[in-house]
Amino acid sequence: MAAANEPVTIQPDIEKDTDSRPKDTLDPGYIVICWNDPVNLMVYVTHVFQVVFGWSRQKAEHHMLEVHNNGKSVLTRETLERAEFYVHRLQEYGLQATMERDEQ
Amino acid sequence: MILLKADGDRYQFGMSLAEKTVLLALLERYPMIPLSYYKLSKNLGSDKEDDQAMLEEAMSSRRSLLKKRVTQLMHGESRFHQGQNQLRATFTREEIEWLLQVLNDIRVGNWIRLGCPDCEIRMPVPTSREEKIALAEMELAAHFECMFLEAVDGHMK
Repeated sequence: MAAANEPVTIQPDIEKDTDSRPKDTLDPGYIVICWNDPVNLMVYVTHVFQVVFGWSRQKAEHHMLEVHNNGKSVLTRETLERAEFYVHRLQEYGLQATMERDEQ
Repeated sequence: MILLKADGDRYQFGMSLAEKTVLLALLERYPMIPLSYYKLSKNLGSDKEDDQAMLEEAMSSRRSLLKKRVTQLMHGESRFHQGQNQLRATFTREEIEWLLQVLNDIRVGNWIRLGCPDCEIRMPVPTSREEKIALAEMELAAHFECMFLEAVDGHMK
């Protein structure tokens, strides 16, 4: 036993946390989709993709055109939390974005 | 409104008093998009109602913050300066992002008020006073959006 005037080192209890984070939180099985609408300007959508994802103009335009021509574009595949984050960011800019389970 | 100069993170615009008045009046309209417009997912089941409530709560807080920021930004004492022929206002890149979000909300919000017409095919012909105002606000918001986008994206090239 350590004397009262000696420093005591208390080791933290380290246990594997298996309960607080659901497995699928870490599963990159969610896709972020942007849906077409006739109101958002094409240059605006391109700009938002560049800002939110840090993409080049070319890549952002490619996805913008996919949204415009095909009605939607899958923008990224992420974990649950990251997918939620991107959906929120896109919606802050007024785009119609959702996240879905990647079935593939 | 025109871009006078871009210097690093700062963009100086020139605008007439009329443009400033219209811009400030437009920004006052924020927020216009109903919270229920946004959905987290189309297919994810289980806690859909809880998720939607949380999404709307988060969106509502973000909007309040953005409204406060933009109000402080546009009504700050040193925001507009009288130049030789026009007013001058300088915004940072981040401030322009705030303005773009607000202006686009006003554009989309008015589009929803007009019944979500397919404006890629044909713009609706407004019949009532409310519709005329909604259409005008929608187009004016787009005009200012394009001005800001041209400034920052031209600079990003």
